[in-house]
Amino acid sequence: MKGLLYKELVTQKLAIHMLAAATFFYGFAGNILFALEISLDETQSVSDVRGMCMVAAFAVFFIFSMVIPEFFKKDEKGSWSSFAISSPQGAKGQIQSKYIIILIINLAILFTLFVADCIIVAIVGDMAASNLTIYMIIFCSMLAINAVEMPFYVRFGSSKGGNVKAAIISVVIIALMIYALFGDLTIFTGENPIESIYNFFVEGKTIWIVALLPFVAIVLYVASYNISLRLYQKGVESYEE
Amino acid sequence: MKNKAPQIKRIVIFCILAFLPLCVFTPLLDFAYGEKIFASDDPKVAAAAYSLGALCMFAPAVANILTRLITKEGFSQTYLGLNFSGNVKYYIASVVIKLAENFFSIFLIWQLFLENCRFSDIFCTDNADKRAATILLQLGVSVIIFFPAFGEEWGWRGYLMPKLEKVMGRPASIIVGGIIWGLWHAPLTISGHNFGTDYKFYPYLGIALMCLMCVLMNAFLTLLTDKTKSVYPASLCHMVNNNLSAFVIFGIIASEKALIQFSQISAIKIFWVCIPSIAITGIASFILLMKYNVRNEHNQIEHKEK
Repeated sequence: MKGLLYKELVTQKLAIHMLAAATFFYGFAGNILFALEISLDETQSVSDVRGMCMVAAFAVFFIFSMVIPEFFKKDEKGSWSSFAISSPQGAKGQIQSKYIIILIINLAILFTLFVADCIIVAIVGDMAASNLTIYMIIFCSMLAINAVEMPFYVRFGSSKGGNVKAAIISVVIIALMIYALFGDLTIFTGENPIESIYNFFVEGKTIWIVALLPFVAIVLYVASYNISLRLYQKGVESYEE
Repeated sequence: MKNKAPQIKRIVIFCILAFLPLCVFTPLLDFAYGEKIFASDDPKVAAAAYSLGALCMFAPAVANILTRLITKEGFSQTYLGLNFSGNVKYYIASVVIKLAENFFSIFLIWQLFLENCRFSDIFCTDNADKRAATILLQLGVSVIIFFPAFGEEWGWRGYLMPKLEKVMGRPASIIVGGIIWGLWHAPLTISGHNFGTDYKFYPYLGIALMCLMCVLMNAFLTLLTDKTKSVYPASLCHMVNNNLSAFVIFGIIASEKALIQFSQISAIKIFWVCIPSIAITGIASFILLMKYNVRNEHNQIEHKEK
């Protein structure tokens, strides 16, 4: 498994370097510098820090989710797949290495955001500046989306499987648009929309959904792995075509 | 002694590197703010204390990496594998047993300190769903608090404990390892963490109590690590202990009357109430570890004879 993980890191070096740069400059340094500015400017509040951190976290995780198809693209060759299946690790090792490396990178992004959060709390001097709950929500949501899309990459390849991601994003955008037309928008029109959104997730009616999200994400990820394992052979046959 | 010399050298280097951040930054921040940061009511100081604690929890993990690089030990036996197969029960036990300890502690607090409080004042069903959701949410957020817990566990159980076992055998290593871990908390205890500063024999009693708790917890965490050959179950247990215990207590104790009485109990008394459940787990773990150790030695002797 170590060898397969090393292979993933080497073949995806460019993508990982770019992601590391985005995470560091946007998710880490950018947030800390913004928090420094907030702490020196009395007209700005903790909510402004929270808003910036929420956007940065979402952006970094979203950037990574856009890069995930590349992890499957490089192995979409009949010759490699045949070699991989015949190796001691077999198809299970191949699929496991993909899922583990994607989980590790998601966790590395979360870790970077956590360290930045600790520093931001110290700079702003207010525990309310901590955004761990929001980071958890974004991390688990992205993990759940990754879990849904990865079996499609395994079965149909990164190009066709990418259409699934586009479909998921389209459904989410359409749902948000419908909510914007007909739903309750008072949380966005209040004095402090960012705090209202935060409280909506943490203390509102969605608290049970948010509380169960990590467990749902873990179950989905494990189920996705098992489905991908079953679909790998069929996927290999489609590469050869 | 010759065979133990490299291990002793690694233990010393590890301890210096692990102890350094807290020993340097805690007194520095106490001096900068002009008060004990972990006993302060000022939100700014409390925020700084939280950040220091959270970031310094990575010191043992960093010490693990640096010690291996300095001593050219390499990165074998890192305990970083998940090793789920056949060990799921230990992963579950790492969370369930710690939660059970918390519930038992709540029961003891109620019986010993909360006067005129009925069962419904403690385990009230009003807003039970919201309180349950809050505890579950905090368990979810623990996914992130897992990082500092892992930072400690990869140092103490993932590096120090195996080295100590090679030097002094299992029983002594559990006690010595726990004392080292407890002493690592000393700068925090002196700064008011866990017990405040307003108690008799401050800070020596606080440091001694931390060492006692760490020895007892060390037995359970070492058992988890030894059985699974993985540092993650111990990290999960540590995560629940650090992040969830307070939430479980405040989430469950229902009535304002009970909460007011609870807030007036001193931290030292609460510690003594929480110790019995930790002690039961610790002693049981110690016995199991000794049994496991004896069985391993028998197997090794039989293998040699063959």
